[in-house]
Amino acid sequence: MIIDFSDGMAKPYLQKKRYVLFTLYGPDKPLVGASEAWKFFDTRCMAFLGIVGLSRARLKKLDFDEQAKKGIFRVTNSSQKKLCGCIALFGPIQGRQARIRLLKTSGTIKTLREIARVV
Amino acid sequence: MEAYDISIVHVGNIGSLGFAKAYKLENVKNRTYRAKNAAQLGSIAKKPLVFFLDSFELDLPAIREVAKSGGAFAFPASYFSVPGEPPHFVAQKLGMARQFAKLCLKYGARIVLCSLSQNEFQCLSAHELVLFAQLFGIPEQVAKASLKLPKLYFE
Repeated sequence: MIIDFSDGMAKPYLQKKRYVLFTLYGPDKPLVGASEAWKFFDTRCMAFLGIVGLSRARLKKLDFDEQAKKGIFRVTNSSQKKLCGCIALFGPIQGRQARIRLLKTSGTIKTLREIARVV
Repeated sequence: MEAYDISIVHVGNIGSLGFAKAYKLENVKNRTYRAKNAAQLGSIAKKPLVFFLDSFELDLPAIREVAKSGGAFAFPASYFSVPGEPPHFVAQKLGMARQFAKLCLKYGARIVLCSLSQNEFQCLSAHELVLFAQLFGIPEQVAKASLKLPKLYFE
């Protein structure tokens, strides 16, 4: 069966992706672990984007460095700005003095991993 | 990118966040005005000030008046990120602010983006403020230009 994508519908597997590097920021940053950070990330993303928005964003959590408190996630190009704008509004993690701060976005994960090592 | 922020407390390490300077709200009180909503601005809208609103309820005459006088409306990030606030309240606020921003862009009223942080760790970076502005449909170029505006009003 041939599917016609000429009506403007993007091929799902051709959606371009962006990789986003983030860090935890604040005096309580050492107290927050990877599981807690990702759990907070999930709940807030769900609250801001909803089920449909999150499915469009095709969010994938990739890395989290426990020592440096830096993480990388992947998102589709079209949803990147919306999601990153929401992250700016996330606020403190579970009442602690720590929050997520975006550092850099890139089209390749290799670049971000190199930056994460340097920053 | 030259950027300026407005905050409630003194923020020390502002350079690392991409700002040239953060103005403390208390120090620029004579160049700002706080009102419950745009309708309450009245004749003060004729002055070229930075207006902080508690609610972004639409009031077209006030927006037109501010656009004419060269004033600006502030969009503080802390207004939308109150910890523990239910998501539907935030959605309501964002919806109203989006309409408000749209009319500001249409009629030429200036927009000032700021974090208005109550403590140092709440302060957003310049890059985050540009992303935050895009939630309201403010184009990236306009958002970047609006980060330079505090200097114009306060110096």
